[in-house]
This record gives sequence, structure tokens and C-alpha cells, in this order.
Amino acid sequence: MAALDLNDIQGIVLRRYPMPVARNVLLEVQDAAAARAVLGRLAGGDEADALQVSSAASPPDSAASPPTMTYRLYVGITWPGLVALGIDDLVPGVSFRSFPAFVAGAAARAPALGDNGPSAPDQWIDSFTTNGGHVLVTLYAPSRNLLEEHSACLDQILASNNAFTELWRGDGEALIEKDENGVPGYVRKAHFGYRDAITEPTVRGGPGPYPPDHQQPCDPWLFVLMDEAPNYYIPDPPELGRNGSFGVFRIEEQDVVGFENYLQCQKDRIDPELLAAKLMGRWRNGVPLALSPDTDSPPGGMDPDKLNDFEYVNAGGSGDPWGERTPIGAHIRRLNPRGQPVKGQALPGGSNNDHRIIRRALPYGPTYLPSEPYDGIERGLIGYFINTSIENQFEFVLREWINSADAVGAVRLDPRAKDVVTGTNDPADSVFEIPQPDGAPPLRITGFGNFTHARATTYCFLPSITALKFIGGLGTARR
Amino acid sequence: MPNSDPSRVMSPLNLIVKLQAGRSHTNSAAGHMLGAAIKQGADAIGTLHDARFVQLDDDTIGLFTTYDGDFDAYIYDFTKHLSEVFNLLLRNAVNPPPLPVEKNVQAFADWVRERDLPTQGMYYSAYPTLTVQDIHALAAARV
Repeated sequence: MAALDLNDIQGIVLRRYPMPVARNVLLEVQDAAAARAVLGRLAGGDEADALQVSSAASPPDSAASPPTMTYRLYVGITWPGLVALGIDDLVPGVSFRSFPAFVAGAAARAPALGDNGPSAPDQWIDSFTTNGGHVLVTLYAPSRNLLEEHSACLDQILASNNAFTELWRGDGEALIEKDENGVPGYVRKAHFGYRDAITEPTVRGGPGPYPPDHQQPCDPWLFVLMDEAPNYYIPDPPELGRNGSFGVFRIEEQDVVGFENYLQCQKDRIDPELLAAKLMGRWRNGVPLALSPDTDSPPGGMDPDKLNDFEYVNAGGSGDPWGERTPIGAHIRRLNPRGQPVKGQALPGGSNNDHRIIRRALPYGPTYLPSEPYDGIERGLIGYFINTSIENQFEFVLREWINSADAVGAVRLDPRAKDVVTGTNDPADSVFEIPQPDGAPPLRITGFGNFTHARATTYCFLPSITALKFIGGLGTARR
Repeated sequence: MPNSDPSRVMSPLNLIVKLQAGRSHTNSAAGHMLGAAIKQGADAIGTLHDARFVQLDDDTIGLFTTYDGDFDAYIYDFTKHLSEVFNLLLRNAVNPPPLPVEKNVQAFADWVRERDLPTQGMYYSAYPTLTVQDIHALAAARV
């Protein structure tokens, strides 16, 4: 297999950069030739001319090595965007034949995935309901000040020669909490209070470092468009398609008050923190039930490297096949079943990599304060789910693993059960089953609605650096 | 799909594949050789209740199976696990879909959908509400 060309792949596909603030700007093409030229400039290699799209070759930032750059820039293009840019007119043989979901667009695909009710496309933020967006630029920075500074530069470039007009913008920002000395700082947490960003798929040949786990490394073609992929043809022509990826940009509003109230409402039946852990598969501090089913503070603590290093079902079937530690329906077990036999991969101890997705998202909205529960502020997660087959990865996971009950092999869930944390649930028939030891009947938790709902989804092609240059080099022919 | 019915979880699939002249012998042999591949693949997919090939005449093979849910839902797993079987069969077919099936997933799904023959009259199942996974779960249920 060819080595991954990290210089050509957008960094967001393969690298986790812990920059705490990000701005997403959805654009509409005004002048196609000018817009193509702008996209080319963003990959032209001349930092003095324009901010540059970041490749996966950029080293990761860490406390030990301060950022070599003060921003990361990424570009996604929708199918209507490729059309508006004139790509299909100017380039003979353009084809995304293996990617019908991308061409159809998120709004058309949503109803079949379970994005109904408050998650339905007609409830989304206006600019996303109509499939009107063409290009989505995402700018990460180490601080708000730097974000504003770079964002102002980027705005100028995007508007030059009437290239683009802005349809919408939305920021993400890591949550801020005070440390033991009372000093506020960014933390890796999501609004429901769980530690976030613990799991990341290991990519064979990828840049890492990856958190240790029990799974086989993922084939790189699951995340990077490569000729050797067994289940798709890269988009044509190859200079447009190769080393690209697809990003499902999504905004998910989280009902923090509703979630906390619900946990408290159940306190006569189950300790609220234990229920929170059973729903997620982890205690809120990130300790997995698989390794510590009874307490979030196991004796001696838990090394951060251990937080993802566990299995549900081993080859041979031992482990926790009935979900007595981690319920079958727990969020992290649904989204990454690891060695759990599931439909499509029935061997215990397998890796279930075919449907995996990489999440690159930040919270939006300020940290929730229990002392001011009804503050009227919208909170949620905003960012990309990265994959190469939207059909077989993002859409499959949402439809079969989040919004369905029968994905998991030989364990029968209530047919109405869906993921509690992110699924589409109706209080009239929602159910979550917590298996009990020694064959006792499961504890059935019912009556909850949606704690999360979609505010926007759009399917973006994440072109390679070569592809952005190619688009920029198509010249000034006008449509 | 013409055979789906909301009153049951499973649907029959009735597919008649016309073979190129003189290829039926190849397929008959292949059918025997691929038995293990079919079993392994179908076990992994976990949505097939049963499946069989029937030689209808010299140039025609019938594939009859019963599957759970939406035909497209697990189509990537289906084409991955049964690629060997379908590529061999369809390589000898008249008007095949683009091959290999695992790389032309949607085209394969469309091709099958267009050719799925309606079941005459009624379709009987002794357990119309039970999926393959339900049956496995019941069989494995703890006492």
C-alpha cells in the first residue's frame, strides 16, 4: 500500500490539533473564477499572500512544543459548491460516482437516518436547510484573539474580487474551567460534563500518536481517498479526488438542563452518576465502565493511556457480552462496538473498523453552571465527522447504531431502544436497558426525549492540497 | 423492493440470473466451491435467514434468499463478505452490473432491485416478527 502523503492531505483528516477555538464560515460562490482563484491561493504555499490550508504534515501542538503556526485552516466543498465553482463544466470526466450521498446532500438523506422531529432538515439553521452552502472554511486558533485576527485576514481574501459571500458563521470553543489553583483554562470536556476526545481511530500508516486500544489499526482508505480502497473509486479526475476525504459537518444542540434533570428524576431507582455512566459507557471523568464498573475513582487512579485500552468481547466470547458492565446500548459501545459481534461483523474479538468515523468537534456555548440552569443559552457540539464513505460510515452509524435497536449480534434489546445521548427519542416509547448481574431482569429506564438534536448537517468534500491547486489553476473562464 | 411488507421483518429475494451461453457448467462448479464462502459471509452479515442457488435450465440460475430489514442497509457488508460469490456468478451473466460488486455497491443494489421478482400470492414465515439476530438471541438466552 502506498504511504500516506501527509503533505497533500488536509490536517483535519488525520491529525488532532488541540487548538481550543474554531470558526466555521459557510460561503456561497459569487464569481466562480474569482472563487477558484481564492481556493488556489489558500493552497499556493505563499503565506505572505494568504492563509494556507494546513496539511497533515504539520506537527501536532503540545505543551512541550508551542504551536509552530498560530492557526489551522481547512476547506470543505459541497456538491452544489463544486457545480457553482464550474468544476463539472471545466473539467472533462468529473465523477463522484461512488459517492451518491455526497451528491444528494445531507438534507435529502436525513429522514432515512432518523434525523426526524426536532432534528429534521426543515428545523435546521436556515442556510443549511436549502443545500445552499458551497464552501465551508474552518479556522482553528490557540486563542480567541488570534482567531479574530486571522479571521479578519481570511474574510478579506474570501471576499476579494467578489469571490464569495458569507451565508452563516458559527464558532466552537473548548469549555473553560478553573483548575485547583482557581486559574481558568481550557478543558477537554463536552457540555454533558463528560471528558471528551478520548477515543481516536488508529490509522495504519497515519501520523499518530494514537491512544492505545485493543482494536486493529484502521485501513487508511477509510479516511483518505485512495486508489487501493476496495469499496469505492476515488473521484475523477485523480488530481481532484486522490488524498481527499469527506467531512460531515454537523451542529448538535445539547439539552444540558434536560439531561441533568432527567438523571436526578431517576435517583430513586439508580444513582444519577451511575446512570450517567451507564448511558455513556464511561464515568464523567472518562474512566470506562469496562475497566471500573463500580467507581469513577479506582484505587491508584487510572493512567490516561488506559482510558481507551479495553475490550467488550474477546475472541472466544469472554468479557462482557451481555453488557453487565457496559450496557449494549451505551453511547460509546454503540458508536464503537470494538470486539462486540454485530450485524455485518459477527466474530467476537473483531475490530468493527468498517464503519468507523473520526470526530473533530468543539463545544459551542459557555460552560453550563448548575447554579443558573435556565439561562436560555444554546449549547452543543460543532464540527466534522470524517470518513470516505458517508453511506457506509457516518450514515450507517447514525441509522443502524444510534437510531436502531438490532445492530448487536446475539443480545436482544427492546426494539424501540436508541442511543440515549444522541439518538432521536420520543418520551412516549423511549427505553434504555441496564442489564443486572446474575440473570436479574434489566433495569428499564424510560420516558426520556431528545437530549441532543441536529441543528445543521452538510456533506463536504475535503480536497487535497493538490486538488485545491488544481481548482485554482482552472483559469478564469466564466460559466 | 417488491417483496417487502411492513407486517414482517424479513423479505424474500427472488433473483433469476441469465448466464452467457455455455457458462452454466462453470457456475455449477462454482456453486459447490463457494459453499464455504457463502456460509462464512452470510454468518458475518447476520441478516440472511437462508439462501440457495437453483439451476433452472441450462443457462439460468435462480438465487432465492430471505433477508432482514432494508436491502440497502447492510449492502456494504453484504458486498464485502459475498464479493467472491457474486463476482464469479455475475462475471458469467448476461447484462451484469458493473463489477466488482464491492466497488460498485449502489449499482449492484440497483441491479438487484430491478430484478427482484415479486412473490406470487403470499409469502409465509413461521416467525414474521423475528430477525436472524432475534433468533440467535433467543437461542443463546440465559436460563
